[in-house]
Amino acid sequence: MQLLKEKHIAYVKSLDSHTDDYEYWLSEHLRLNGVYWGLTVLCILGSPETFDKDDVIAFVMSCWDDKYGGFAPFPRHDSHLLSTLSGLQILATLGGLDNVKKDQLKLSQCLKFISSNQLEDGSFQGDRFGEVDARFSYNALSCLSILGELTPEVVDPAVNFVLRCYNFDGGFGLSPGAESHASMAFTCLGALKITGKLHLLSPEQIDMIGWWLCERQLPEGGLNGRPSKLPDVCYSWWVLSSLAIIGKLEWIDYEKLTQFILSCQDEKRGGISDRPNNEADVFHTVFGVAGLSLLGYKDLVPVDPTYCMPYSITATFQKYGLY
Amino acid sequence: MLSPERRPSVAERRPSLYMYQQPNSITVPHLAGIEDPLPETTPEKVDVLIVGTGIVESMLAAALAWQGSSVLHIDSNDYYGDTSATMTVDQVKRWVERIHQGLVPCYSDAKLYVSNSIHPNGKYISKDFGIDLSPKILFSKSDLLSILVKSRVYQYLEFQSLSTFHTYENDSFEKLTNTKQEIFTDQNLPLMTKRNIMKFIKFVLEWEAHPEIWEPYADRTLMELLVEKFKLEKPQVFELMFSIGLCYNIDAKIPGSLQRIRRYLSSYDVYGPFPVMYSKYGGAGEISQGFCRSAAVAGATYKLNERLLSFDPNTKVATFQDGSKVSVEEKVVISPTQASEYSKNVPAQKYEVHRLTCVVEKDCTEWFAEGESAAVIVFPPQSLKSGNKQVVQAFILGSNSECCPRGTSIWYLSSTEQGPRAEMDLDAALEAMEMSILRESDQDIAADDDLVQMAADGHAAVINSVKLGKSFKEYISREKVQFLFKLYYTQYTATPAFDVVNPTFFDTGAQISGKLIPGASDNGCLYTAMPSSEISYDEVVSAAKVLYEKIVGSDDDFFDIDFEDEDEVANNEQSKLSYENAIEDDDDDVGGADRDIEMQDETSEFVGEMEL
Amino acid sequence: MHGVKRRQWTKDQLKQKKEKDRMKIDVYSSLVNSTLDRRDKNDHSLTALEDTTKLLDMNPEFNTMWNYRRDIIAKLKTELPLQFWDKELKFIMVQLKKFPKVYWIWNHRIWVLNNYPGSPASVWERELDIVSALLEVDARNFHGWHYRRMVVGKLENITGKSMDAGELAYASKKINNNISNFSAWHQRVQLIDRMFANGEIEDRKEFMEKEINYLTNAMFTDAEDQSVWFYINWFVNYPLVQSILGKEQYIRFLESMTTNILMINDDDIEFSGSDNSWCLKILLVIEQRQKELSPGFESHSVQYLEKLVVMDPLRKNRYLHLLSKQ
Repeated sequence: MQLLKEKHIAYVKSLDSHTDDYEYWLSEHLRLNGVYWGLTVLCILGSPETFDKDDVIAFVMSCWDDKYGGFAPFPRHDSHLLSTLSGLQILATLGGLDNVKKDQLKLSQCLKFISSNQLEDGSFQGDRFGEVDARFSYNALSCLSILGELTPEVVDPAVNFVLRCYNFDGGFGLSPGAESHASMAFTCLGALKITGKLHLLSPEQIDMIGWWLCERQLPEGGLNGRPSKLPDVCYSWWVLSSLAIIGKLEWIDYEKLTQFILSCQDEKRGGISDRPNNEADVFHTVFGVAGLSLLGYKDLVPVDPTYCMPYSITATFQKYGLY
Repeated sequence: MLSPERRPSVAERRPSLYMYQQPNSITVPHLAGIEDPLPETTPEKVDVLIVGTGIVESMLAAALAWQGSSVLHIDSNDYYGDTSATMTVDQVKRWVERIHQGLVPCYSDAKLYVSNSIHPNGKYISKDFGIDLSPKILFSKSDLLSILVKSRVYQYLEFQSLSTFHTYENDSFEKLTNTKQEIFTDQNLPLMTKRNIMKFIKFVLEWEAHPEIWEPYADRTLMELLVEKFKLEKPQVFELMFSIGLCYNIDAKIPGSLQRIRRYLSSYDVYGPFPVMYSKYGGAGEISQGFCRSAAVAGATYKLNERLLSFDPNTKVATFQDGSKVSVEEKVVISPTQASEYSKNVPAQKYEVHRLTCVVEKDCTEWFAEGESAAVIVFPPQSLKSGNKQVVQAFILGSNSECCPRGTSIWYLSSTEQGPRAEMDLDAALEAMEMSILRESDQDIAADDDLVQMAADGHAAVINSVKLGKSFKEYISREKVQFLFKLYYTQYTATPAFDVVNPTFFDTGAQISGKLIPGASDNGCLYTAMPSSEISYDEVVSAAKVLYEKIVGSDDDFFDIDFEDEDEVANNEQSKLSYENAIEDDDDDVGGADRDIEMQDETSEFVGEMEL
Repeated sequence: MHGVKRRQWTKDQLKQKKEKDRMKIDVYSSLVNSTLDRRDKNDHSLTALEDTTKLLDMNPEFNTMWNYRRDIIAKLKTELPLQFWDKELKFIMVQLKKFPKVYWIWNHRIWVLNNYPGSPASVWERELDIVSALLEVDARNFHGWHYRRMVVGKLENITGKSMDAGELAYASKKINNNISNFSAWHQRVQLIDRMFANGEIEDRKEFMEKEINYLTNAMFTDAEDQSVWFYINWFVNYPLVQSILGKEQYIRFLESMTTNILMINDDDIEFSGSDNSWCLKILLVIEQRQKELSPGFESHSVQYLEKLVVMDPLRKNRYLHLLSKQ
C-alpha cells in the first residue's frame, strides 16, 4: 500500500467545512491544536500553501487571551499551555512569530503566563487550576524554546521534575509515581532534549528506555502505549520520536510499522485512523504522517522528532545548553 | 383460550406499559395477540404456517415476522412452549397422562411422583413451580444472546448469573479452577501444572490459529491431546472435558470439543465474572414466549388449542381440526410433537435423552456461589457407582430463579446413555447429590475439627471451597432429602449428542425424492428438530437459521431489524443488558446504604464503557 | 477518535443527521454565547452556574466552561450550602461515567474535593470507594490509578497514617485478578520501594522470600506476559534484594530463577519447537548480575542473543547492539 498524499491533503482541507456537524461545534476546545495538526500534515506532505497563511495567522491571533496571556484553543476560550504551544507552533511554521515576539505586551504576558504556571517542585500546571502533568512541562519548555526565552530559573527545576517521572521499567509517567505511558516518553525525553539535558540519563537508563520503547511493537507491526494494549497510530509517533531522540530508532522494525500506518488510511476520504477500518481524524493523521517521515518514507519533508515540526522550521529555535 | 391453571406469562410479568420513567428506560412494545384476547378466526392467507411454539419455532416465527412474512403460529396445547415449555405441577400431570395415552409423540416412559405437600390446600401449590421440559443455560458469548440483544427480545426477560460448575470425582464435588486468577492463586497446584493449564487455556481460545497443535490429534480424542500434548493430569482433564466443555464421554473428538471448551472460557467476564446465565421464571419456555411476543408485535397471528389436520401441497391449503382452513403461500413448518394424524414425513428420532427432574425441600445454597441461585454439577464417566459410561449432567435451580418457592430447589438431571442403563445412571447421580447435600447442610458438621479452621480474626472459616471436598463414603446421614416432585421421562431426538443440527434433518422423505407419499397428511411440510441433550442453547439459533434459509432463500437478513430509535438505544444496549443481568442480586453488600446505591449504579454504568 | 469504527453514511442518513444537528447547533451555540457574555460581565450568580451545568452536560470537554464554573463556585463559596458540594460531586460523576477518560472532568473533581468545606476524611474515603469501583470495570485506566494515588496521598495527609500496606494488598488483589495488569504491577513496585524506605516492613527477609515465591508463581502462570517479566527485571536489579538476602542467598536466588526459567523455556521448546523470547531476555538480565557477582561466571548471553536475533526480528537491532557489547 502507498501513502495517499493527495487524499490526505484533501482531507485536511475539508476539515474546516464541517460547520454543519454538531461535533464540529463540540470540539472548539481543540481547534487550535487541530489547526496545528492539520498544518503540520500539510507541511510534511509538502503542501503548506493549502491553508491561506494570513487567514490562519489571523485566526491564531484571535485566540489570544488578553486576560491571562497565552493562546486559547478558540476565540473567547481561556488560554492553556496546550493551546499556547499549538499557537506558537503555527506562528513559527507560517513565519508569524513576530506577532508575539515583537509585541512587547504580548511577549511579556505570554512569558508570564508560562512561568506563573510553574510550581515549586518544577512541574507545570496547564492553567491556574492545578492539573499537573509532564505534558505541560513539555509544552512550557517547547514554548520558551520557540520564543528563545529558556532560562536556568525555569529550566533547572523543570528538568528536575521531568527526571522524577522516569520509571523502573524504562518508561515515563505523567507525574512521579505514575505508570509509564508512551506519550510521556515523548514529552519527557522531548523536554530533556529541548533543554540539552539528555546526558542526565545514564547510558544504562537510555538502554532501558530503548528496551521499553521497542517492546511496544506488536507482531502486526503497530505500536502500543503500554503493555497488553492494542496498537494505535498515535503511538507510532510517541514511541518513534522517543527512540529518535535517544538515537535508537532502528530498534524497531521500520517496514512492519510503515505497513501498519498505511493500513490505517481511509482510502476513500483520506485521513488516518488509530487502527485499520476506524474513523480517521486529524490527530492520527499528523502522527501517522510524521511517523512515516521519521521512518524515511519517500518524498516526505523531514520531521524534527523533538518538536514534531519540519526541521527547516525548528532549525531557528533556541538551542539551550549548547554553550 | 389459555390454559386454566398456568404460570404468569412473559406478557403479564412485563406488561407493555410505559411505566419505567427513568431515562433510557426500556419500552416494551405493545402486545398484539398475546396480551389481548387471542383472535377467534384465522386469516385466509398467510406466507408461513408454523405449528408448535417451542423455542426454535418461536424464534423462526419472530425472524420471519420481522422480515415481513405473514405468519400464522399455532399450538395444539393450551399453553406456549411445546417441547420447551415451562409447566406447573398440574400441567406436568396432564402432560404425563397424555404421554401414557400415546398422545405426545417423541416422549415415552414418563413416571411421575408428586408429594402431598403440593396440593391446593397444602404447603405448596402447583403453580409455585415452573418445571422446564428442556432445561437450558445461556453462555454469555453465544449466538442466542446476540440474537436476544439484536431483536430486543431480552427486554421481555430477566437473567441471572451462574458461575459454579462442580465436577464429581472420588465421591466428592470439586469446584472448578479455571480462571487465570484461580490458577495463579491456588496454593495447591504444582507450578508446572499451572503452566500447563494456562497454556491450554490460551491455546483453546484461539485454537483455529494453531492447527499445528491440534491437527495431529484430529482423528484422536480430546483426552489424548490434553494428556500427551499438554501433559495435564486426570483431575484437570476431567474438569476441562466434562465441566468446562460439557462433553458426554471420554471419546470426545477434536476439534468439536475444543470449540465447546472455548465457548465456556470466552464467555467468562463478558457481562461479569461468570460464564453462564439463565433466564428467570423458566428457561427455554420463557425465551420461547419472548420470541412469540416479538413475533406478535411484528404482526404474526397466534392461536392456541389449534391442531393441524392436513396440508395439501397442490392447493397449498392447510386444514385445522376446528374446520377452518388457511392458504399457505410459502411453507408449513411443524414440530414433530404436533405432527398431524397420517403424517408420514416426520424424520426418525433415533436418539434417546433421559431426564430426571426433581424438586427437593432444600435450598441447596451450599452449591451456589454467593449471590447466585444456580449451579451445574457434572458426573464424569465412571464416577458413579452405576459405572456410568456417559456423563450425567445436573442443573440446579434455587428459589431466586422464581421457578420454585423458598426453601426448595429444582434438580434437572440428564443422560445421553441409551436404553435402560440410563435410569440407573440417573438414580446413582441423584443418590450422590442427595448424600452430598445432606452432609453439607448438616448442622453438626461445624463441630468437626478436620473441616473447620479458625481464621486469624477468630471467626470459624471453612477450609476449601466446600465441606464436601472430603469424601463422604463413611458419612451416614441422619435425615433424608424430602422430594416434593420426581419426574422421569425419555425424550427422542434426531440430533445426536454433541452434534449441531444438521441441515439435512429438515429434508423430509418427500423433499429428497421429490415425490409425495400417497395418503400422507404432511407432504411438502418441513419439520423442526426436537431439542437434543445439549444443555446450552447453542443448537437453537442454527436450527432456526437453517429453517429460515429454507423458507426465505438466504439467512442474510435473519433478525436484521431496523428499530426506529436506533440512535438512542444502540449505544446503551450493552450497558443495559449488563445492568439487568449482573447487578440483579447484588443488593446486600456491606457499607452505608446511601453509598451502596450510588456505587451500584456506578458499577453498572461503567460496564458499558469498558474496553474489552 | 480512538476505537471508533469507520462508518459509511448513506445520503439519507447524512441528511437526517444534518437536520438534527442544525437544531442542536442552534441551541448549543446560543447558550455558549450567552454564557460567555455572562462571564465577560463577571456574572457569578447561581443562574450563571446553572448555565454552565447545562453546557457541560452537553459538552463536558469544554474546559473554559469548567474554569468559569470554578470561578463562580469560588466566589459563592461562603454562601453555598453543604449539599451543594455533594450535588456537584454527583454531577461530575454523571459526566465521568459517560467519559471516564476525559482529563478535564477528573481535574474538576479533584478541585471540588480540595475546596470541599473542611475537606473531611470521609469525603476522601468515599472517593477511594468510587475509584475502586471504576478500576473494577477498567483495571488499566491510568486516570483511575493516578487519581487513586492522589486520593490516598490526601488521606494520608489528613490522617497522618501511611496506607501503604492496604494499598499493597489492593495491588495484589488486582494482580491476582489479572496477572497481565501492568498498572497494578507498577503500583506494587512503587509501594514496596516506599515501604522499605519508610521502614514499614517488619521482617524484611521474610517479605523478600514471599515476593520471590509470588513472582515465581506468576512466571509459571503466564510466561508470555511482559508485565510479569518487567516486574522480575525490576526485582532482580532492586538493590535491596541483595542487601536483605545477603550475597550468598542472592546468588542462590539468581540460580534458582535461572533453573526455573530454563525449565519453562525447555517446556516451550518441547511444546512448540522454539525458545520463549522473554525467558531469554530475562536470563540475559540475570546473567548480567551473576557476572558482576562471580568473576568466573560462565555466560551464555552470546548464545541467547544470537537466538533472539533470529526469533524476535522486530527487535533484532537491540540484540545486535547488546551483542556488540559482549
